[in-house]
Amino acid sequence: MSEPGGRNSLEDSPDLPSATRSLSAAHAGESGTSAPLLRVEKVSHSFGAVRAVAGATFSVSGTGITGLIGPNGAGKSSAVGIICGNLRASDGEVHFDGRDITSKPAYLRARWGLIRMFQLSSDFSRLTVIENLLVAGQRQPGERLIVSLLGGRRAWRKREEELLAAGWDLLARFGLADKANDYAQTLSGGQKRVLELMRALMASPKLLVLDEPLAGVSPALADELTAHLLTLKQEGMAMLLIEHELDVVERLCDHVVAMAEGRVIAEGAMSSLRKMDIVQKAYSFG
Amino acid sequence: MSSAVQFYLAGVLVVAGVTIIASWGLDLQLGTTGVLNFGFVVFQAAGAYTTGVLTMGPASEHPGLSYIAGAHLPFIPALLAGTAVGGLVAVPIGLLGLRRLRADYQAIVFLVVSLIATDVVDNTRGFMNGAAGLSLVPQPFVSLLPVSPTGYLWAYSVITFVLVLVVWLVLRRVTESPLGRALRATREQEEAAAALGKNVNALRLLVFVIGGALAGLSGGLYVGYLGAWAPSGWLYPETFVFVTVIIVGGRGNKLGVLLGALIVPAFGEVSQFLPNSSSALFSGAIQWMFVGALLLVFLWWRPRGVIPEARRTFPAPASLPGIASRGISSATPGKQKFEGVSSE
Amino acid sequence: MNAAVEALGFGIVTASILALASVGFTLQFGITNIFNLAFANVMGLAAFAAYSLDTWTNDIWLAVVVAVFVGAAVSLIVNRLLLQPFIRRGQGAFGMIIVTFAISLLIQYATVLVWGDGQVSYTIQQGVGGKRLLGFVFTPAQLVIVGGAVIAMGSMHLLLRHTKLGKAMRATAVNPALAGNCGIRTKRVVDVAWAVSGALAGAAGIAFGLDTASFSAYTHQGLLVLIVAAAVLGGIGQPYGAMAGALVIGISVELSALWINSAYNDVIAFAILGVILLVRPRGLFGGTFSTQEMSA
Repeated sequence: MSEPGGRNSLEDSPDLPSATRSLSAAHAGESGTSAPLLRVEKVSHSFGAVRAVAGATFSVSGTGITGLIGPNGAGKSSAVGIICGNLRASDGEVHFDGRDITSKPAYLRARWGLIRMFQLSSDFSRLTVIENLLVAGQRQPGERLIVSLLGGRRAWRKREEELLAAGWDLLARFGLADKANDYAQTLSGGQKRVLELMRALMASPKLLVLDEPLAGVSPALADELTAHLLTLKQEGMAMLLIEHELDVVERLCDHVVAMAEGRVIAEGAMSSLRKMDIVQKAYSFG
Repeated sequence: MSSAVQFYLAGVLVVAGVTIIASWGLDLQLGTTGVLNFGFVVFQAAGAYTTGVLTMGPASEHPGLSYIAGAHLPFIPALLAGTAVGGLVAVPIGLLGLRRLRADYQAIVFLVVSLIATDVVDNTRGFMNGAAGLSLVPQPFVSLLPVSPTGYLWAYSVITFVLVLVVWLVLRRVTESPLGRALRATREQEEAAAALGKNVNALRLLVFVIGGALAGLSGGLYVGYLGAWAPSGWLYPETFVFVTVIIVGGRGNKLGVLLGALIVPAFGEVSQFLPNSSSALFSGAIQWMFVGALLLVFLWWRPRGVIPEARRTFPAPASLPGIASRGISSATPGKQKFEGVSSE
Repeated sequence: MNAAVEALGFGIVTASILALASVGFTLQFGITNIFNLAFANVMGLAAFAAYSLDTWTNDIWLAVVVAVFVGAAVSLIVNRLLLQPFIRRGQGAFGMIIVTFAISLLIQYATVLVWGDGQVSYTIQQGVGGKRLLGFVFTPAQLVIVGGAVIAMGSMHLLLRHTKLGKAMRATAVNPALAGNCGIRTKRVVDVAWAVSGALAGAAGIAFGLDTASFSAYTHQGLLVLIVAAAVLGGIGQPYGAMAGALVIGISVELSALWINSAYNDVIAFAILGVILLVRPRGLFGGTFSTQEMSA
């Protein structure tokens, strides 16, 4: 579905969001390898006596959008929690970009390119919108004490300007440029959702994990967000999308993983999954 | 101006400078990063004791005083040592207390550290001379500075404010930088900060140590001025004096805290001018009630303080990349431009 | 008397005083989620009010009544006038501690202003009379304290388990919003909780004064950590846990005097508190450790 010339013109533009630029770099290195970007193997997690995830295994490719579907209680959010490092797997392994990240803390996974977009409002309220974006930027030497203490502004000014450019870019693209210097807490609910997405993009994701990004938003905003996600996909961003609405999944996702009762019950294109008995049965109780 | 008034004023300046440095340390922890260190005064005490004994000489020279690690260091190395000890002590305490605890529990953990510390030091006579504390701490630089008490005190206050300036410049590099921004993000949403690659535990321990070091520096400066230091001078309410300074002046910014460090003790001094002020008991009690009342008033009417944390703004670039010029909309012909987001 | 038995006896008295206080403290936390740093100062204020009455009338029993009443009234007023407005405005847990600390300063130093900083004592005669129980000689005052604590604890049990009000209090402690929806008048429940816990504070305040040779305006503040230790050990917010915690802390503090310099008494309690907060913050009986909303 990529438009002719679309990707190249972006790469040539000097005002590229660093997110996209770093993405290009990542994909340049991949050179057609077929290894999945993310591999989840037999992971389990229990909340007390409840086995939220019971031996789930699936992969996410480094291209396109992979959907994760399932009825309520299927273990989707828990699986994502395990992938992103918010929950500890009692069993199994998670591999990302060639690394075993099973026991690694969340912040390291983020630094390696595994970025999640939060569902509930988690904007940094008393930072401005653009500061929210700046702080999401990676590889800023000024975040290390030695550098900012001994090197002063000179040591981090260049990276800051790069991140600023990328930030303004995103703000323009997502239509929030006039809110840049407002505190994030002054945004409306829908605007905060968009800020979440922009912030995740600022973090140079190799894999963007979205946990029901359309939940609780107005239909108009849902359409806009869906359009944004499609565009991102065309630009080459790999995503893992948990989503309830099967129509949206069919529209956005190339590959879908279906879960139920903590396990993966099917994988494939949404159109074929729809026809499977096992998927239909799981959803009829969902 | 009479010599007595000058003496008084110079003393006020020294104490103000000490309070500013300490309050900046606590503000870095509490105001900027959201670490509720209710045991803060312990770190100031650590610095004061260290600088004190390192300038007093060994205990054998002071019959009647019993303490460890005496030496005859000049003031500056002793002060640096006090600063270092303040930071070092922060490491084990921080590692123990800076974990995922509910906000008020964490505060209580550090408060308890403060209580334990005063009690242990009070009762362990051989450590820092117990309840009686240190005395006869020599005046710093006494051979270099004017001999008259007033002159000396003015000079000491100048030294104090030079240090205040140094601390300002150093702290500025921490807070007005991407590091400062990461700290504030940690304060706002710890989980989101981690999800964006910030090592929240390391950041919090970092400000715990830096704040501890600043507390130690303030303690060393203070003991040079007071010449003495005992547990009764660093009981847990003292931390709350700094908390009041931060809340009244304005947390999360150095200017606000500086203002608070001038306002709060000044109001306390008002009690000197009330009737019955000759009674130390009366004026002491009034001063503390004042701190309490001031806290409540500000928490209710102006919790952000007199000078709230500034908003850092960034000017938009001259040529804000428009959507049309980038070809994105051409990727999806027929779609509306994403000009604005529908408000919910 | 055998030293151990003597320590045990003292321990029971200390535990009784602590039980009164820590049950009150934990009740305030359980129902309104407030960590009240001013609690010990209310104890002191009540103790001094009782002292004034005692000096005036020489009637110690009346003084006890006054202490209980003053404790209840002051706590009720403080909560209604100072604490609840902050909570209704959405003040977080951390801010509330600072608020209670400010109130602590006000009450503490108001007490100093009115009564000075000297040592006072009640008009009972120390060391006269006494009953021998299990090898320990309890003075009349100590008997009253222990007896009073037992009665108070029993009454709390009856209140919490066997009255509608008690059930309402327990419901409000677990989920104030839900309790409100079920028709419980949470405002009234909170008022009663603060009055009851304040009464316990007053009782503990005078009990402490009766148990020591003399006390000053600053003495009761020193109990705060023991009270917090007992409450947290038992699981903060759990009245029965606080009773158990008071027993443990009270007895260990006195027993430890057998082996350690008695000046370190409090350090034992602090250490227990510190360890619990780090290792098992929920305490022995799993207190309310959630970040639930504070009830208004």
